[in-house]
Amino acid sequence: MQLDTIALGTVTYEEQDVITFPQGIPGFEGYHRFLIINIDEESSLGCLQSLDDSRVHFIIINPFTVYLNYEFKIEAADQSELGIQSEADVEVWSIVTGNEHIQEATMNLMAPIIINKQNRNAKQIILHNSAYRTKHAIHDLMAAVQDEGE
Amino acid sequence: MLVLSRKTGESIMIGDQIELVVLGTEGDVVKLGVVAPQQQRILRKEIYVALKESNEEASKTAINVDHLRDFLKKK
Repeated sequence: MQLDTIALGTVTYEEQDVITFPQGIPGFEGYHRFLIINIDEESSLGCLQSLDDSRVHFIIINPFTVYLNYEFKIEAADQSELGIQSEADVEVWSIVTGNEHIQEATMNLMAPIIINKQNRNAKQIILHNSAYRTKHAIHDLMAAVQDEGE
Repeated sequence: MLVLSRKTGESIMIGDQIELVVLGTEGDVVKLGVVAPQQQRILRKEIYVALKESNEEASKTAINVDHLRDFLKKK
């Protein structure tokens, strides 16, 4: 199947590639079917593209490639909702926000996107008891990892 | 909207399993206790609103992915 996207032109996909957000994404509750399009493997950069509306897309990143110290617990309620049996089932992404100034790009560590790779169900969970925020400067996170590594 | 008056120590039941207790008041702050099953998610509304706003902004993001990729590889 093919989808014309704004961000990445025409994309070909299979039904098994489709990710379902049964409850949508906060702010986009009516959108349930998405694709993850890899933009760059090395930097783990991707695009979360809606299949319901080609205009709706998010730039996403594997948060651990930017910030290795990222840690959180998926609540039992979210685990059972997504049918997660083990850690190996889980794929994690963070939504990126930014403008033309790359230095100011941020990522959302408070609400990671969790995908159960077994059944392709997904949800943006909220780490409401953590110190993580919706906007962490990617530049600062990368600098923090370097400092801690030295 | 249903409006109920409760005194400190009194509570309301939402369905069979959720109890909302008024623990006390201090000025314009009301301290609430929630007794609910573990699978029930409870959070402050402003967190959810902030997340919605952040997602809406992210969906309009005008970031150049090529520049972002180069930036990420610089580390």
